Amino acid sequence: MEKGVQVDFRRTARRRAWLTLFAVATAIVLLTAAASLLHLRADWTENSVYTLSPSTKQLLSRLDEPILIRAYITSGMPQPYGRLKQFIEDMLRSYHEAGGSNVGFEFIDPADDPNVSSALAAMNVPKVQVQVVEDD
Amino acid sequence: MRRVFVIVWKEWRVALDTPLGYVVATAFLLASGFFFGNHLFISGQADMRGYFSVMPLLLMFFIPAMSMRMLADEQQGGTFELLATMPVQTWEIVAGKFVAVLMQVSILIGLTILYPVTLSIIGNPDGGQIAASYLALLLLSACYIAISLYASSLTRHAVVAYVIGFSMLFGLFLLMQAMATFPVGMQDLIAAMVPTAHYQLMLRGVIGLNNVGMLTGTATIFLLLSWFQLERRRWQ
Repeated sequence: MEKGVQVDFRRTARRRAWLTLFAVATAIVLLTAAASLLHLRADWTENSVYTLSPSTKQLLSRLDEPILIRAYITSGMPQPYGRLKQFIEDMLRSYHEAGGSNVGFEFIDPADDPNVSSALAAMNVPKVQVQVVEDD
Repeated sequence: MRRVFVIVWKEWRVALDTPLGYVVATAFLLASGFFFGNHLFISGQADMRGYFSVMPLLLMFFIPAMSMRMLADEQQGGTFELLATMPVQTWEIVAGKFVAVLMQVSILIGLTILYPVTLSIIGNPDGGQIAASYLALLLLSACYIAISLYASSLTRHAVVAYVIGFSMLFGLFLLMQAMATFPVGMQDLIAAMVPTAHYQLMLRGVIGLNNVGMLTGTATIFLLLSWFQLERRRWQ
């Protein structure tokens, strides 16, 4: 009799734990999925720099075919150009968020590959010279 | 709820009364100060972007160390049985331990508020972006703590718990680093699943509900798994 009660208790505890595990896990997954489908975001930056205008968003969400944005930036640039690269990357991420899988982007360092520089020259994309003046 | 705070209070006392907490805090602040100063002098810009980008790496080493003994030591010392006979439920034990570590980490992160204060004296940083980054850092810490607590619930040995927790966090880090080598379709999938990817997006200063939801969701899932791991002892 004693043993039977104990086995029964274990079985109940086990069933209840598994049920809770699955119920709570499903609830969390559903809530997270719902949160990502809502597309709610708050831009806390000064002047909301990463918020796209409604017309840009509308255009990006109605693209007929995927576009790929290629950014050619030499790495190891002096400041503030290093920061500019970060800003461009952040901005392109905002475009990717608005356009979904239709808007892709990649960064290419022209210094890595001589073919890239000649291809750019053929496309009439000029090199930009950067000059930095500093006090000693 | 009151019983959760009893456990939080107990862990809080342990952290204050033993040298371990102070050693961890000193090491953390030294490392974080190095990264902040290093980035500030190299870039010469009044922002904390570079500092926040290395923080996941730093937390990867510190958080498993701070949570490794939480559940493992209770099982090793046999005090878990004692705790289980008390009028406290398993989820309250897990929640108490989680809140205790989260509090310790929050204090460490809170001490770094000196950095943005320094920046606002010498320059004009974007306060909103930094506030968003701090929120992101807290959420990421919660995630890392939950993963480390789960590691701690798996074993009786604190050192093993550290190794398991660190390996899981390191695996996520490697996945994030290797993301660019995957095909484009998979990249989006990985970016949606890995907590650090959501953290990186929040560093821009943009708080997305999907980012917050994913980070808190991951934390809750691992807390749930830790609870289940402890609850299993009742029928095994």
